[in-house]
Amino acid sequence: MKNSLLIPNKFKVIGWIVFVLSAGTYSVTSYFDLPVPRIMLTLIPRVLSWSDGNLWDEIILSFVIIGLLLISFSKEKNEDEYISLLRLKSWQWSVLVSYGVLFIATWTIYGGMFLVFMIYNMLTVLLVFIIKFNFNFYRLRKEGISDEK
Amino acid sequence: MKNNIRVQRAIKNITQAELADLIQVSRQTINTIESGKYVPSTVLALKMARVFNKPVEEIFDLEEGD
Repeated sequence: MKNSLLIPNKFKVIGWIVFVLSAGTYSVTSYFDLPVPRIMLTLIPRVLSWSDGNLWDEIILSFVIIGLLLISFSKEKNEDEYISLLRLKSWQWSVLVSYGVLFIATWTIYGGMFLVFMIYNMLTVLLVFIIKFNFNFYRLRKEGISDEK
Repeated sequence: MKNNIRVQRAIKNITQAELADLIQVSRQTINTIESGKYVPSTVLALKMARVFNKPVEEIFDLEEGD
């Protein structure tokens, strides 16, 4: 059973590097309120007037998404049909959990806070998937060691 | 579905890891199949049958409720 959407294993490392660097940069600059580089591009029309026109945020978020996608869609070293099944189950679980969280948040978080929550929520599906899949995978490896032969 | 892969392995005297290598899956997958947690695809079942040189029905067996 070939899953054509998956990319080679080496992209996993690249994904982690891209994700940690971009998420780290964003966290540090926003937490300490550091000045960020101004990247302006007049070609892109400013549809929303409250934007400051700086593309920094867009670039950082793009790298975070690319990083997470590379991690999520790269094969394991020994990808086989059982690992594919684990992968699909983890996706299913992660979509359910993410929408569960969103449902709860809808009724418990209001106004500006909800907007802030939704910004982070954009990444929930991918983050929950990565955590769940790696947890399942770790458990599978541990089980395997305990009863050889 | 039941299987007697553990027995077949013993007859052929190969480990889970060796069987895994022969049919190109991870050792953990063999382990989950042996313990009945995972039902392999037809492709994998046929590959195993080829390794053990037995018909698939001698390795895998339907259970009540399948």
